[in-house]
Amino acid sequence: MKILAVDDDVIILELLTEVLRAAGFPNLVVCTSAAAALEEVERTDTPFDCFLLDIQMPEMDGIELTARLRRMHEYRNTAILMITAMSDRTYIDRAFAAGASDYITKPFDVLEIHSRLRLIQSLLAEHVRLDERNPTAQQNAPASLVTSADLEKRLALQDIDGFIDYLALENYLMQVSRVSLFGMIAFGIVVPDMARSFRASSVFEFEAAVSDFAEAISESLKPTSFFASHAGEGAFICVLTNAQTFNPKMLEEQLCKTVRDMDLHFCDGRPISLTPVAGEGISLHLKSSRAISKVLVRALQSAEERARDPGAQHHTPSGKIMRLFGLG
Amino acid sequence: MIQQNTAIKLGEIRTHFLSELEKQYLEVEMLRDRLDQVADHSETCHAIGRICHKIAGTAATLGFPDLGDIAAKIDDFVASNCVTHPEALSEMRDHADHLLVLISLIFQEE
Repeated sequence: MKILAVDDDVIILELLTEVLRAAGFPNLVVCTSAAAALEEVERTDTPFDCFLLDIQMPEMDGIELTARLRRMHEYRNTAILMITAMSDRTYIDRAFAAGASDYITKPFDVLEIHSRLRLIQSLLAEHVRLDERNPTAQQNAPASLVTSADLEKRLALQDIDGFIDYLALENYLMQVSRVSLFGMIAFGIVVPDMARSFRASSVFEFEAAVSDFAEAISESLKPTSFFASHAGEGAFICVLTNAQTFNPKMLEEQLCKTVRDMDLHFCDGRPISLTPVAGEGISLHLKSSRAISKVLVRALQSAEERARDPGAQHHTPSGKIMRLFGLG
Repeated sequence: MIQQNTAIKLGEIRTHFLSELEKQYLEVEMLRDRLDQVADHSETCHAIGRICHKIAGTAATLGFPDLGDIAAKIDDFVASNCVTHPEALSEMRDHADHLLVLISLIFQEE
């Protein structure tokens, strides 16, 4: 795994070099500024698999560097870990909004860095395995028909305001839970019948529709500060980052109006007449990663129940939701 | 178990950290004196904050957790903009004194 570490403190870079080498990650390039890092990225023949970035650096900081890397096609989905002493909520929010995948607070725990990098390495290996097993699923010919794997895939949608990768959202909540979860509310949004409606559509059509619904969610939630992620099929998870209350009915009305105004159509001209449904808001009071996953499942489950029956109460999560969240 | 060459490398990094800490001590000492002399102490506090930010990032990992804690405390204090309040000056002086004493103790032990 080829890693680029950027920090203006040479002692941190020396430490990272040794810690990573000892953990079996010897392919590390280091830079002492964001400008030098961008030059290195331009110069390299083999793209980097992972970035470790400090936030506070003179001139261009690590958050701006993250945003610039995300604008490069080859680094749209590359893991970017912020390794920083800035544990303030504002910095955490800005870093994830710019496209950070994860956040490690200095002074770093050597074992923590090892485990995060191993996780990234295993995700990379999984992607390579998928590519080898099913090359078309990864580099979809856009015109090919959607498969179940395409429907269940979580799209990153990083170009839409407030949308971040699903794993990054979990990491964000984990990081924020160490500071304060006060004023954070999670809820799910589902577009009922999305999978059935797009079963005979192309990958391009399906992904464009997911992107359109995400755009509508983003527009409807503004100006509230939020993060949101696609959770597969027509499901989305949203987290309001500074709210005391949440009214799903009001959001739904706004969302339906936005979707109507967008006047969505299939490629053959048929109108897409799907209406998103929002679930109940759940205040976040959680600490562990398992607790975070459970809350996200509950949030989506609530949206699915409201889609089936607006008066529905709490039920056991459906098999589909459990599968989407990797819990089934 | 840490391999022998890793332990040697970490020892070298620790030595580098301590040589930087010596320079940082002199800088903080000079800035601390300035807190008594200059009317507008905001820039001086921020300069101390920047040094503490660096110390806080590595001290604990290299085996100096107390130094890391006080450096992080000063870094947070400066970052929270408290230093613009006149009453913050005496607290900043206390923090800087505490840091200098702690660094002196580290040098005595090493």
